[in-house]
Amino acid sequence: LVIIGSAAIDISAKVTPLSDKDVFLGSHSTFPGTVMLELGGVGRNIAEATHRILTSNSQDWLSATLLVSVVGVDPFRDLLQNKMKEIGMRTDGLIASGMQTAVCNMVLDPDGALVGGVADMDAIQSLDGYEVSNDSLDLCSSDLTSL
Amino acid sequence: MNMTFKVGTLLSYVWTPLKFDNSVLVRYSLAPLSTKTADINYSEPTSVIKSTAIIPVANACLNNGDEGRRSPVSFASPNLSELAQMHAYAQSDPWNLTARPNWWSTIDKFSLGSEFRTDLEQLARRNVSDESLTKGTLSFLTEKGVAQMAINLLPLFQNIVIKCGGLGLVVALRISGRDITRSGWAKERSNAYGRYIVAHGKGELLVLQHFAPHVVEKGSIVNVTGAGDSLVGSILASLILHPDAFLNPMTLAKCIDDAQQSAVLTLQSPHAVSPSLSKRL
Repeated sequence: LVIIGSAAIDISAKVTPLSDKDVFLGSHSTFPGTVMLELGGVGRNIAEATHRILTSNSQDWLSATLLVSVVGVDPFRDLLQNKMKEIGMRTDGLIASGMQTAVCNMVLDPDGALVGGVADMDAIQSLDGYEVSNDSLDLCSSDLTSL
Repeated sequence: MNMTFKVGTLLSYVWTPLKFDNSVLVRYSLAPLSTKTADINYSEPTSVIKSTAIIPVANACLNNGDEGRRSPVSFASPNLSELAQMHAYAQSDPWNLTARPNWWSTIDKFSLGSEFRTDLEQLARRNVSDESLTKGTLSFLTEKGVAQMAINLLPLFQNIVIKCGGLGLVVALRISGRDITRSGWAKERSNAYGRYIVAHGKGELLVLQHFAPHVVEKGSIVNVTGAGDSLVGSILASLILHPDAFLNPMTLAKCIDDAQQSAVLTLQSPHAVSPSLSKRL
């Protein structure tokens, strides 16, 4: 199974409950809260879900799910690779490029609702069809020839 | 590269939107795939804006509806907004989907007539959920044209799983040619109680089925991010384990039920994918 799509780091910041929520909105200041780092990206999320379910059926499926995505050469990629390895996911489909690894930054209010954010997801757009088909076909050439 | 695939493993591709307007992609990716009948490709629209990216590719590969030819893309899983956007885009210039003879030759084989319309009207009167009557009926299938849009897109997408949020899921699928003989749907008739419609055409079978939403305790939802991704991931896992899952009513129901459970687990988790998906459902 080859999944082609985005892999990203989600950084979400949630403000600790305030007595007056409106103080936070448009305050031009920082507030105490929790900042969490998570793996994201639709392609990567799908790959993780598939990987988790397949491997819960049988360990034969440990390497069956391959995520093909574009990452940068930066600490975000290291984080992505390390976390994916922790789950047992393959990381050999993450293609290094000159772009920055995709990052999505979200600010949440004390209730967890999205206040705003910035998504820096250009990396995946740099992956064009030719590259994808060749790379992923290389990765699975034994599979293709067997079919 | 490290080769870890086993010989005979089902190879399938999932496309999330890339530069699909790149003609290179059409020639080098979908074309070699479509020559291999065992291949499955799955397109996840991802967002309303990105959802149309697959249309030019699928449209370029639209075949003439010859006996047993499948749609260029095997699976797509839009939500209601993405479905409407994909449909509108496919209809627009220069794709003009429903004006193309190749589109009509497939649609014509469905032989949809007054019986189908009656079945659809009956289905539309059912409640969204038997457990929660506050969710209304399935009238959105006809009033919002959801059934019509899905059917119009079937010549491009063999199986369409429509994520309707709190209204559950709608699956539209076509079974073509020789696949009909090994499909459990072949002996089924429309059944409003079972929430499905089966139309027996000429060398084509069309199925439209609604799956009620799973009941989720209100306070238990932690984070909605990634729930749809877990749903798709679960469908893919089911397809890897049972490539013909959509060909039979029982296996389709199991596939969708597992997918809904996976989505609910992720709703109840602070993570983008719930780690509990690793515990066998």
